[in-house]
Amino acid sequence: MGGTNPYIKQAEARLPTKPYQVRFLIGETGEERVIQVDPGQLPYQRSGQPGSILDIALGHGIDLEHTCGGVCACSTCHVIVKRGLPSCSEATEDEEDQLEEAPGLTIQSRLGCQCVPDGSMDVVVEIPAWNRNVVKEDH
Amino acid sequence: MRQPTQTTRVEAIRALSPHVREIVLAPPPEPVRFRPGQWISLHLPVGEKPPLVRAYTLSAPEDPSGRLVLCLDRVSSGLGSEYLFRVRPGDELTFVGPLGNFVLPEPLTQDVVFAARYTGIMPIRCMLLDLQRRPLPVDVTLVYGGPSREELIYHEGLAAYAAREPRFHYHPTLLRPSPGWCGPVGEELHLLHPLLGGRPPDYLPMVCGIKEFARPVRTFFQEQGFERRQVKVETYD
Ligand SMILES: Cc1cc2nc3c(=O)[nH]c(=O)nc-3n(C[C@H](O)[C@H](O)[C@H](O)COP(=O)(O)OP(=O)(O)OC[C@H]3O[C@@H](n4cnc5c(N)ncnc54)[C@H](O)[C@@H]3O)c2cc1C
Ligand code: FES
Repeated sequence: MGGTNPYIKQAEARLPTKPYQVRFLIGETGEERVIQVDPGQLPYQRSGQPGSILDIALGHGIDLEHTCGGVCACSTCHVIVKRGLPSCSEATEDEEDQLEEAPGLTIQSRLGCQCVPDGSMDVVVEIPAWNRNVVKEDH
Repeated sequence: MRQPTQTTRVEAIRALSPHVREIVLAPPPEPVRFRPGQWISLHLPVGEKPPLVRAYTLSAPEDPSGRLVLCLDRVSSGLGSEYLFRVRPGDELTFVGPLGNFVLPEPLTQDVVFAARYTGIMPIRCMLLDLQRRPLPVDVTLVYGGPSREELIYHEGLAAYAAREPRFHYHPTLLRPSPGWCGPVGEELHLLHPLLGGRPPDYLPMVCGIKEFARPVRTFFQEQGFERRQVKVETYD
């Protein structure tokens, strides 16, 4: 075998190379925020995958819950990517495992901390109001 | 409705090794009722956009005093852990929780195999302290790796438990040779293979640590016949 560890599956995220837009629909308040993402400034902060929906949200003062710190260990950063999903990094099995714990799951659901748009499309993201207070005790 | 934060004070700090410290939190205003294996989410006043949110396992079970115990390693250039290496008794910490589902089933009717590396021992140590309150109803095996002898956190307590509880089987290993260590050296998988290779999947596997450790260990258990979801995994990064 070669020198790579076959077990290490990093989420292969392609980062954007040109500016693009993310529109956040904030379920709890009904507010909308439009963010122009500047690839040169990524990551905006230190939680979640660099360039992820969580990174973009927190970097612009949008309050997206992330109780585990953005490491795919809870599901409180659940978002619904209403437009632009094909431009986002593919979900890993780890992400899918956690997502299953999120209430109100849809086929466009992603973990904000793991979902990284590549900038080839503008993206519309809903932060569901029911994300709040999500603690499941058992699998 | 999001879970409310609450604030408490650091009551005591104990260095367990040059890179690991235990932080005891004073009883918070709202008592925290938790199951061994759960964690709290700290909101730390650091970073470009505070609060910086980081998860830490409750490393000792609930006790009547209401104090909470955390134990963490210092990650180099890690914003959160470096902050927690600067806090002193009397400083305030804000948190949410308890959270998480890396917990033992109740009642415990199936043997358990724990695998942990380094600070991944925390939820398991908490479960084991809780289990020690009565004789074990099942066999419990722990395979636990540390970077060096002094960084094999809580080793003495675990070894003492194994000496008095015949159903607790403790298998420590060091990732590198270390002065004064006569036990196994090498990755945890080197111990798991001879211990469990070929055994039917009639036990509960639980794995905790960073992904680099947890992923191949999960794969090992899948090779033993477990479905992916049957292997309970908590990863830190
Ligand atoms: C459910 C849960 C429970 C946790 N419980 C504990 C605990 O009890 N004790 C504890 O020490 N940590 C625990 N962690 C990890 C902790 O939340 C932080 O991720 C860790 O302290 C690093 O944060 P940081 O801000 O210092 O580093 P960051 O600036 O966030 O850097 C993290 C980077 O360091 C690497 N790294 C190296 N060692 C570790 C490590 N031990 N943990 C995480 N990342 C690491 C990662 O690969 C990652 O790239 C837990 C994490 C989760 C999700
Ligand atoms: S913040 Fe916990 S999974 Fe995204």
